[in-house]
Amino acid sequence: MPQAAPSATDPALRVDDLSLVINDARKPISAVNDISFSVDPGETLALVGESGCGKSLTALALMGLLPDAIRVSTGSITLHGSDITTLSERELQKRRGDNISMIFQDPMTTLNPLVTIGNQITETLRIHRKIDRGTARERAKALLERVGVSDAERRLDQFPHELSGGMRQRVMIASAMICDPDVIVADEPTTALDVTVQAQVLALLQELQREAGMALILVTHDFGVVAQTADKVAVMYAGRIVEQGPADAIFAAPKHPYTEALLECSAPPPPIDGRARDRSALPQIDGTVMPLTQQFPGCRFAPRCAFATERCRTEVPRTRGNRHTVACHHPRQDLDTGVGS
Amino acid sequence: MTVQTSSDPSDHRFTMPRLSFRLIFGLGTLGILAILGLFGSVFLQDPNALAPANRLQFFSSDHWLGTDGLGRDLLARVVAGARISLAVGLLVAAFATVFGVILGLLAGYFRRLDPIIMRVNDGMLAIPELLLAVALASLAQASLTMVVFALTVPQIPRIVRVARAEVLVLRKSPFVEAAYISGSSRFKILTRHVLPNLVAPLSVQVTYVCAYAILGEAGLSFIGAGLPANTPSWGVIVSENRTFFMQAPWTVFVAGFFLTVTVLAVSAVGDELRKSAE
Ligand SMILES: Nc1ncnc2c1ncn2[C@@H]1O[C@H](COP(=O)(O)OP(=O)(O)O)[C@@H](O)[C@H]1O
Ligand SMILES: [Mg+2]
Repeated sequence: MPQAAPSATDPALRVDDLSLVINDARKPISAVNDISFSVDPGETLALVGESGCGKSLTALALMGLLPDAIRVSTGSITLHGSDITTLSERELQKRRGDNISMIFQDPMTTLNPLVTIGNQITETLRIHRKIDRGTARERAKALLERVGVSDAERRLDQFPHELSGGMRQRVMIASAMICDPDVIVADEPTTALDVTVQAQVLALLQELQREAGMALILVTHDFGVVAQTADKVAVMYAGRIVEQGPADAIFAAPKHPYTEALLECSAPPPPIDGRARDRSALPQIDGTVMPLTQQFPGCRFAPRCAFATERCRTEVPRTRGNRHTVACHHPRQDLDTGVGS
Repeated sequence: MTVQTSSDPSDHRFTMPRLSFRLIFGLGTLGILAILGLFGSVFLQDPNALAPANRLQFFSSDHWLGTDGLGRDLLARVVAGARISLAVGLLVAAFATVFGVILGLLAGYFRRLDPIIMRVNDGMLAIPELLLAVALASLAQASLTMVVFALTVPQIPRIVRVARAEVLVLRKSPFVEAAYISGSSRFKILTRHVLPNLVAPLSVQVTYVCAYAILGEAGLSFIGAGLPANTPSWGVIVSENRTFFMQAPWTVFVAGFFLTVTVLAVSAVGDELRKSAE
């Protein structure tokens, strides 16, 4: 697996100690705690975790699109040399689509039913660049061909309902890429698609991103997706990044019991006596994620963790390690050398 | 009246209504009326030419639909009335839509304006529409402008309600959010992504407004709060001939028939649109 080449340039996006807080009627609830990560140009970071752990909120924060009730309480998000948490909506709006763009989960509803494919793709381009209709159309056509949409010339004049889900997601990818953004945030981009097209769309996304040297932040709950695409992995649990590092290191030697359990769950089950196992026999992590509203002094995974001790229930583990970090009192593997614990 | 609020905005495409009997009846009738209204004066008699000698005649080859109490040709008057009715229907529908959509967009998209607009809106909805129309019509001297104004105002809140409900769904719809995060301005989002998607759900409501306006004009004119006496409006025709009802009932029935058929035709189109929207 390729590693992030050490380059003289800054990362495409850097998040430092970001915390997000939900303004509840009674008291603020922290939804995301002190997360840090960075992605270099041409690199893919996978943000993995069970549903409800704050992945989508993090993705929205990167776009400066947090819902009204949620705000950034600490930390910074550095994109293109500025901290976007401090930018005005007006300045953000200039960057969205141009420096950073987003691909959503459901391509069936993210295209305007009354606007042709061609116009949806060129819209972003025509907002951010001075470019005439004809040139924009040529760009859209070339990009459609590039994302593997056949008969691009004719597709440009079609409406979304004339396209299949996989085709629509290809169109979404094309429109996210048309301004050559530094960063693309993709929140579960293949979850709504047929299993057969998921892999194709992922492969395409990654290929294009590599080609154009964009950074990709891929939000997913599926380790299968991670294995296929990621250079770096950040595993989230209940609003914290519990483990982070190069994908190959995480797959080879997961340190956090949660990561280990997730990997076990996602590994294809070996067939017993040649027959496929029924679903109930699939491994799963017992218990559920502790609700955000619940106060808990220790590691929030402790109640579900086979290795938890008294310390886990009373003290939040610090994040330790160098390139491959983990926030656990009892990591499953040795920490990187040179970092004391 | 049915308020259409689809929860899935991706359903708002133009599906062509199926060519049913009702649709053919509706569009056909309106088409014929429009052609008659526009070009009828070329080959018909003067709707205002008095001929007291020929008063209250029954249908004949000279006067296909007979004559009224002043000997005027009823066919010519009723056809002139079609022009007025269709004009009122279209104008009221157009004005109510324009103002209703603007207010609905403002209320639905700019949430700070919402409580203000909707409070006034609900207040107006509480007044029976014809009562409000009569009150408004009596504010000034009878004229076409006044009638259109009086009939438009009570319809605006009805459009506002439907438009706002649709905007509330649309503004949260993934494609509007997607447009926003690719850097589109609010103006562009409203004009390009929200407004066009209002057309399908509003078209049903608008046809009902049109039918209501045609009926309303006749009603206002009948009670003398609408168009001036002697204008060949269907309401006026019924009103001025009602004293001859016992002698010459057709003088009343002819205008009444046209009115009924027209309103049925407009509602038929509305119903077919609604069916195709479902
Ligand atoms: N608009 C909101 N208001 C209040 N709480 C929210 C809102 N959006 C998300 N949350 C809460 O934040 C937590 C994280 O949500 P999310 O980021 O969507 O999880 P994920 O994408 O990992 O499944 C969830 O517990 C969710 O209930
Ligand atoms: Mg999510």
